[in-house]
Amino acid sequence: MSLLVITASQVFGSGVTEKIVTVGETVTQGEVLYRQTSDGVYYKARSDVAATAAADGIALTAGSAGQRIVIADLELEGNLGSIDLGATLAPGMVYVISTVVSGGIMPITDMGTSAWIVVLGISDSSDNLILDVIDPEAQTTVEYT
Amino acid sequence: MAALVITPGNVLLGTGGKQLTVIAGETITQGMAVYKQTSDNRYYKGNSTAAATSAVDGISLNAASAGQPLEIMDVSKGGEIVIGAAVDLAKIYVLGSAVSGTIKPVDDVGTGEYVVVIGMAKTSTILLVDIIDPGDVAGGEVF
Repeated sequence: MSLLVITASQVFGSGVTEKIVTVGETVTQGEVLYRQTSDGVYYKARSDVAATAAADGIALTAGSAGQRIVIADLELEGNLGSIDLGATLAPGMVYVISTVVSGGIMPITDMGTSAWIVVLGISDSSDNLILDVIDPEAQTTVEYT
Repeated sequence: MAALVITPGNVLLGTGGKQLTVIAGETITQGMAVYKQTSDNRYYKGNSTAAATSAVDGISLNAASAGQPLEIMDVSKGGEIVIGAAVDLAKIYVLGSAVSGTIKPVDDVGTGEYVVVIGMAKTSTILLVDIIDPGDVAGGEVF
């Protein structure tokens, strides 16, 4: 198991709430983003640093710094929908923000110690992720492997 | 002169521009002139060599593949766009022909093209968008 290899052109949301946001760096489809509170701009999330360990959206289009893109909004209450990530998922696996690659998604079994775990959801097929964010906003010291 | 060489990362909606979320019908990157295909309501790269594709309904503001949402500048509302390429002040720019989705100076229009004017360069980087589309009329060589 390792980081999902996402085919950008095959990323599609289903039942997601689309939101138009400004990105602070180059972003492609399927990358997990967090909103930087100081400027409201979205950046690629990564869970090995507290400040970037949050999942506020997944990119549905691509853009560069200062441009506006469409994301699947993950900040909402209730049903967030699901996303076809254009990657091979293990049905029934819980997926989390990557600790290694900004914007990346990895299975929870790859979590090590000393990372700020953020769950994105659980897969119900080999390419679909049911979105349900769980962010304890605290450092995990548990190794899942 | 030739089609604008656009740096996708430098394309930004400018003053007075209005954006619109649509669905892409094919892979599109920032700064492309796109038209709405009425049969499926999706947006495709325009090209002035054929009547069916010689329309400009938007200029893309981000990148997307077929079926994905796409942000465009709604050109029917006018306004400005930072086009991410060097443009000549006060030059009129039109839909391209050699490569779909491109924008080129009006000097490059050849015989038989279905000319669609996109706008005029306001500065060396900004296009003031004002579409003039005579419909499916093949024109002559402009210069």
